Amino acid sequence: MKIKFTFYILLTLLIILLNNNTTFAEFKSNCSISGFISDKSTGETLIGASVYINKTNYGAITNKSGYYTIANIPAGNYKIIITYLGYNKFEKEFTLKQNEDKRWDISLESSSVQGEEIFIIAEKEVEKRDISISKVDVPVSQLKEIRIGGERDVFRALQYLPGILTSSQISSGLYVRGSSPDQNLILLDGSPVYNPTHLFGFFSTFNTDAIKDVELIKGGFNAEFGGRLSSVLQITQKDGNRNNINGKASIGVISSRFSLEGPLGKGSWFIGGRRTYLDIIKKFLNEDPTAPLPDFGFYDLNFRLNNNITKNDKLTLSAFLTHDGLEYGSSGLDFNMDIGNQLGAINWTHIFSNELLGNFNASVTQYASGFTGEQSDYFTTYQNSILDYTAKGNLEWFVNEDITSKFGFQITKRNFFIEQNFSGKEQVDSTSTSAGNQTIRINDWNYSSFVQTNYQLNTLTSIQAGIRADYWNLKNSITIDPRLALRYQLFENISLKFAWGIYHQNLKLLSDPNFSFFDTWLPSDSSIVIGSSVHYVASLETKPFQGYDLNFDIYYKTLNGISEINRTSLQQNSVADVFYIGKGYTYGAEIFLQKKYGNFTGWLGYAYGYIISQFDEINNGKKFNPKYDRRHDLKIVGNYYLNKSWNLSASFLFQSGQPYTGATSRVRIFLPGQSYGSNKIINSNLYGLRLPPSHQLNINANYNFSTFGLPSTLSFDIYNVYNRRDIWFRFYRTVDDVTTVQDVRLLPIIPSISYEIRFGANHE
Amino acid sequence: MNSNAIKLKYLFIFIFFTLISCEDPAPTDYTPSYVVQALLLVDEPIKGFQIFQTASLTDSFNVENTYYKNAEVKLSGEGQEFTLYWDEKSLSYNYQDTTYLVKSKTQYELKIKLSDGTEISGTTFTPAKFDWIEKPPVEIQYPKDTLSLPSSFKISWTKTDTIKYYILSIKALDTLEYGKYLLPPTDEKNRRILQNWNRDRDRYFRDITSWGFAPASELPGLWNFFKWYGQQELSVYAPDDNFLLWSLQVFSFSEMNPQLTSIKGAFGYFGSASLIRHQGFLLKNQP
Repeated sequence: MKIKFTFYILLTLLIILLNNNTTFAEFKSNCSISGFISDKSTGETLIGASVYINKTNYGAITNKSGYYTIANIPAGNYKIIITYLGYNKFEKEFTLKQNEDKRWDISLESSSVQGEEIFIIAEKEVEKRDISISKVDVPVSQLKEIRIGGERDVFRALQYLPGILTSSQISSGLYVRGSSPDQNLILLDGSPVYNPTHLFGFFSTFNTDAIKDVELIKGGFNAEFGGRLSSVLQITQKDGNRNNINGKASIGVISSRFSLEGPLGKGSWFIGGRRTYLDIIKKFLNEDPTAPLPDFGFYDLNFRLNNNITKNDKLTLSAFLTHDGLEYGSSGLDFNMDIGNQLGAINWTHIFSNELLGNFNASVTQYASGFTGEQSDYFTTYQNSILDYTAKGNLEWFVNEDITSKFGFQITKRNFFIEQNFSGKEQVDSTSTSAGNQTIRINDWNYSSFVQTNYQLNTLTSIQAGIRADYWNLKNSITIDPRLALRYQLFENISLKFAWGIYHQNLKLLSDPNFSFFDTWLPSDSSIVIGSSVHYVASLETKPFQGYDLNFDIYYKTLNGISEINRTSLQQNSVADVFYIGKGYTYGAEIFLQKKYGNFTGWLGYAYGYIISQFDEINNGKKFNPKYDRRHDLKIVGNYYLNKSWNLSASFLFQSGQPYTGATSRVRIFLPGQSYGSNKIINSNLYGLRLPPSHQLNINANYNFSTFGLPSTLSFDIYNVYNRRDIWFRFYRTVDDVTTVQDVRLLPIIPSISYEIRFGANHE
Repeated sequence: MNSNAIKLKYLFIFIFFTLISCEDPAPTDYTPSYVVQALLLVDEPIKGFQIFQTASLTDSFNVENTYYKNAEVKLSGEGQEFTLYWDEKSLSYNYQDTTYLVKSKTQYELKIKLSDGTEISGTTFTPAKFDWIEKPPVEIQYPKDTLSLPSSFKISWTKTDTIKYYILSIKALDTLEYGKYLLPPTDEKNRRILQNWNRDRDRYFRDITSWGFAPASELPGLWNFFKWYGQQELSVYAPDDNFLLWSLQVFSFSEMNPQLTSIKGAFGYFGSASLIRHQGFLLKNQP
């Protein structure tokens, strides 16, 4: 009833907001200015650049296409100021004649050092229009400086933000504000990625050389996004250099990377990849055939091609490919394992007018994993995949300086395929039991649409109201997700933000929190409920000192229809046989102090949070804190630009220990004929105890020099500087008669070195 | 140092100790629980039921101290009631009349009363009988090629529709003697079958039985299933779900999982299975 009431209020609000603006033609009585902001040397469009008309309240931030629009400006003489981190400020005077729609594409020159004061004026005005809450805005260049074992990794870097937890230090999974990784919507150039991990979860699949922008919304996200309960991570690939051919190659301890980019017609292309080389090294080793090393490796490939077909049309092709493989053979046992993603997408951006921008996307993305094993002619196979066809589009209407509306649709077809054959036969025959041979093929359609409006009510208050509707074909169910956000400028330097929204998630993920082996996605069928969540977020954003941003966030999130693997299921006839379904809630507070500009950049974040779950079948139906629950979460990241040759960085985290389960007694149980049996412990309250805190310091240094006249960088990294071996998990060892408590510890200190060389006319 | 700086220092120290104090040492408090293992095998006498009281984590574990010997154990089925007695020799509860054999496709109910008033109960429906189609050879030669270990024989049995997984076990009947079973007999001793993965695992050989699940009624000979050469007994169980879940408990979980328990009032199971057995001899691939 309460939800219905809220829904009607929001609907009314939307109608008022839209009707308030009479007709489109009426706004044409004034002028507008719009265009793309790009890097002068590479032509790469810049996302999130601040565009401000000096001494006015007019301003905008470039969107994911690098496009800005400022509408409804009276004719006159003005000065435009554009700022973007890492670039010189652009300012130029211009004149707008009566009814003029000025198209102005502007290129910015990059700068090695940031002046701090220039951003303050422009950003302050533009930020007043930014309603988005809990959005993490860390420049990619800073995220790249957080490295693990010499590997740059976006997910690892995001784990250094407050409120983002991990299942362990060896997992790249993002547990955002108490939600599990399956509840994050991960989009690469707008298309979903279903398994963003390499090395069974140790690294993410995203090569930082191919990434232009990373945006994470930790909660309270708007109606444009749906299908997940927790957060949205949008990764935008580089377009490529529009002016010159450039390249980059690097060698690290774990993998090597290579990228090449250049101009093509009225556009550009980019191709980049990386691969491991354990398989190559292994060829030179003299192995014992009875104890060979397994063949393991991964690679990924990013490709992007874009072209400005006309001044108002931009076409982009994106492709993304990842693969992890493992092979082993000895003592009559052979197995191989393959995990991979494939993604292909085409995107068309069309500028209908200065005020109306359209974006249309069609993509095919597949995640597949599989295992085949053979032991003395006994064959086992497990294959699973999710194949996603999506077509979507949205129109962004910059109605006037106070109102922006966005409308969109999405049609998705997902094919789920699972085949398990443990019967021992390569081809299943009549001797197989029903449990040993199962093939599941499910086709599901999802139709979505959304509408949202941003309205600046007055100089102090902005509001964003949106609504999203989804139809889930398999479940034959409609979900309605109203979303609301409010911004209030309390003082010149302090703004308050609130967000509320309802979220639904149809997909369930069968996965192990410690390793990403055979992640299997399944839709909600008639046997299982669609997951739902309500977010309440409040935020205070301020700039306490020049050059510093300080945010305080508090949040409360309910979770219903969340899933845990049912490890005791003997046969899966429906989705309900695979999962336990439960509920939970999370709440907490976060502080984030960030310095984005200057020779010294970085942040300090602290989060205090609670995660509570409840499942009828787990912990006797009592509430418990899941394994990834940590009460305190402190993170400090610093980058220091010493001079042209050296820059240094360090990252430190301190977190409460993870929960673990204690024991009350032990017993030995037997099966018929067993001479010794099997020792077991009796658990106490599930995850009722807490391990010692985790803490870790990593330091990195980059030395820039030239190799045969080409700019190069040597990177030195020390992971876990003071060799703090955090506990991965604690267990009771009952192998002997005397019971002991054993800790399995995580990685020790790991120094590493990597070398990068860049070639071509322009370099980062 | 001014007073504000001192206050700040104490604040940081307070925060630091607050953060690190959130740690719980592993508990050793003892809370006893009961575990019941009761399996009915079709066409065999009612025997081998066991009840345990779990032991404290702080004491050295001795399995003999964990047997619960004073329970009132009653079974009913086919309109009959069977009272079981404690047998010190087999360390289990058995039914005295060994001429009574468990029937197939029959429901049995178990009721146990402990001296502290705890009541434990469970139900099982015995599976249908099945039989060999192709038994393994009486003499099996272990392959000389130990890297690829190709299979040289297969086994099969009649399939029972309700069975999700069959459970197989191979028991080494004599881990010490080998040559005395040969013709002509020798004094050659038996030995473990060592592989790369079990070479350093003495505890793997602590139990003389190997277990596995088979979701099919026909299998090739799996060499990694054998632990010793020499005399072997192969058993194939067609289990009910209670026994199957308990087998999962034994092999897949290091702690008791209530979802794998099929009785009320304690951890454990009351299950049943049909069974076929075969004895054979595994010849060494080299002296």
